[in-house]
Amino acid sequence: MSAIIQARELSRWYGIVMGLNNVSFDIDAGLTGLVGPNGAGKSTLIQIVTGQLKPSSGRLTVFGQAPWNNPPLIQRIGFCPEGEAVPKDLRPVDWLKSLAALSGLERKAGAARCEAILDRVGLAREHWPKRMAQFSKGMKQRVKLAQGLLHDPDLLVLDEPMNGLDPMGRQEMARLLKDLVAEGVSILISSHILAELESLSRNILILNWGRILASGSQREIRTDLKDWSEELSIQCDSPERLARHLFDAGVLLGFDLDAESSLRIRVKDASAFYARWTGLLLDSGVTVYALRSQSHSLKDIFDKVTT
Amino acid sequence: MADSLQPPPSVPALPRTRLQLHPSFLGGLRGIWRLTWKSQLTWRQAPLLVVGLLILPVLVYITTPTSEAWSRGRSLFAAPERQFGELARRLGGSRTPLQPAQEAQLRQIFTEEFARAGNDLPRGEAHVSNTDRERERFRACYERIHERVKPLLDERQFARFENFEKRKLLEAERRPPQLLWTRTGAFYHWLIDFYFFVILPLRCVKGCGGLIRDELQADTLGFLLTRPASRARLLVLKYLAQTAWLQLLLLAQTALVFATGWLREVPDLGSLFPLFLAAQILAVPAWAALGAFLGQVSQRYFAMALVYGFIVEMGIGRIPTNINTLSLLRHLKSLLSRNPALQGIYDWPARGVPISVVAPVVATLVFLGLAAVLFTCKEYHHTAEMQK
Repeated sequence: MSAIIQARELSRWYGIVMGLNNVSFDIDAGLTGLVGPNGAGKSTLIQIVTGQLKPSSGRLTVFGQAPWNNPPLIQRIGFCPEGEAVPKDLRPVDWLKSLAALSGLERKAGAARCEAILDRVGLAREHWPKRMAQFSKGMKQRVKLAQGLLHDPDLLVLDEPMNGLDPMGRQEMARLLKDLVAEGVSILISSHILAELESLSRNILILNWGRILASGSQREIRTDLKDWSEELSIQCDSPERLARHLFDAGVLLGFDLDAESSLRIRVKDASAFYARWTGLLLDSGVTVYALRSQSHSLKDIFDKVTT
Repeated sequence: MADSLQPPPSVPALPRTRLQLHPSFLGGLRGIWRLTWKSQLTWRQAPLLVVGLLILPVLVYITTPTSEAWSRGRSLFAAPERQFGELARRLGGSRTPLQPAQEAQLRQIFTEEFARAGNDLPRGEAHVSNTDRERERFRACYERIHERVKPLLDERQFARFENFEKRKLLEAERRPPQLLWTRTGAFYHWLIDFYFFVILPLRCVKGCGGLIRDELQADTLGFLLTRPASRARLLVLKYLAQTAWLQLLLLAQTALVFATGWLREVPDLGSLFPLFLAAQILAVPAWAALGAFLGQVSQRYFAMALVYGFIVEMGIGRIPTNINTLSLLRHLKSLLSRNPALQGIYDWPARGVPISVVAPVVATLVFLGLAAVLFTCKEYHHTAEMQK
């Protein structure tokens, strides 16, 4: 599958603050999740993808072209920004009609498209005559999504689209996104709600401090990140002696003595550690009662690598 | 709120037939114009809009008297009691005081004759053109008083009265003509010095300085930047829509001020209105383009506009060399000086009509071009902007 978004040594600074730090990645067609805590660089990446910011160095292309000030390319991209900001004094249909005209839709086709798209994102018709200042957070999310889909983009970029939606709304949104992908629309979606992305997207890009921690399918990420760091809890008769022995063997990133008989250790290369574990244990002379690894859900891994 | 989740569980997917998109300048202008007026003409903003439109006409109405009220207050026939009092004091001072019966009759004669002369004044006429006729009436008034007081006063008193009469007629002769400016001065001060030179430029700068920054502050700029229009085109479209809105708003304001002037009997408004309107139609895009440019330069564009006003318009514009052609106001004044009434009042130096028209147009294009270039090169980031 060919990549629709390609970044090579991409960096973006805001003065002395680093938004993105020399990242390279490919994003294929389909639904891709962009995950990271606040300040990770998600919004910066999204703004570069949608042509609102220029890279400070490096290169990013969407469908083979740089997005900055590139109207023909922007015509193929839909964008739904983060937050609740919508023009408060306007009615949704008025707003969408204006944006439709700006996107190049004729008057009649634009009006019809606005109505169809509002139906599709699930904004009940009884709310259409209201000004958007009266809308709930979830309703605003729907209208924002509608404006992103208005011009039938090939790539839809969504920045935290689930915010403000209730569980049912999230379910509907997920269904809509899956439908869009089935229709051939590629979606780049950022979220800090990992569970939703796990169920939605096959491919995930994890960002932190402007760097890419992992990218690829969920399975690949699990493998990558498990090796990156693993946390184990060990019940034994002499935690201090075991900690000293493991530390001397050079396999530990760190450890905590939790209680009299409990030791928590962090190892860098879990596979290598498990391979040496029996020998290390015999050499130490410590009696181990239990060895427990932390869970390996994507969320746990994500929390671990981003904190 | 349950987010209005009434739609059926399975919303039918739209068949992905490619939409026919033809982004064009006119289509974009249609969209931006709709956004502009729909977001500014709302019930929430209506009271502020109406108050803003009515303040100036109300000030004009309050401070500009009608010609009748003005004549009553300022004419030679305005104060019979004062004239009578002066005569009575003079007679008393020359030891020929008036008897009570004489005093009553003389007061009545002055009151009646002054009222009669005052009522003869044509209503609503420009005072400046009536100065000579007013003097004639004043003389006729005193002639009638002269005839009526003759049998009433004794010889010495009558001689004193004749001296008093001569002095008053002489004062009337020497009285300078009442200038048009004095009655309609307030109207022109409000219209030209306040509205055209101050309010209109600042309103335009305010309206267009925030073209992009207001969107950025509301965090809605992303919706526009992710449309298939170049940044330069987007800025020009926003500028055109906002300028059209300002033209309508200021046209309504001007019409209200002129209507108030007409109510207050300001003469020659018919000839001034088209000229003023032409100057306004030229001035609004120029000031708006200046605002759009300054808005791209700095978040504090309004303060920058004030500095520009002090340096260029009030400073450079008054230097008596060719450098003053940089001043927009100078060209606009030159255009307005075609009106005799304004020329009589302000005595602005007149230049040729072509340069007075071309200069604001050139200024508009230069400022707008600079704004478009800056917007094309500049990046905006909501968070960074909000932190400033």
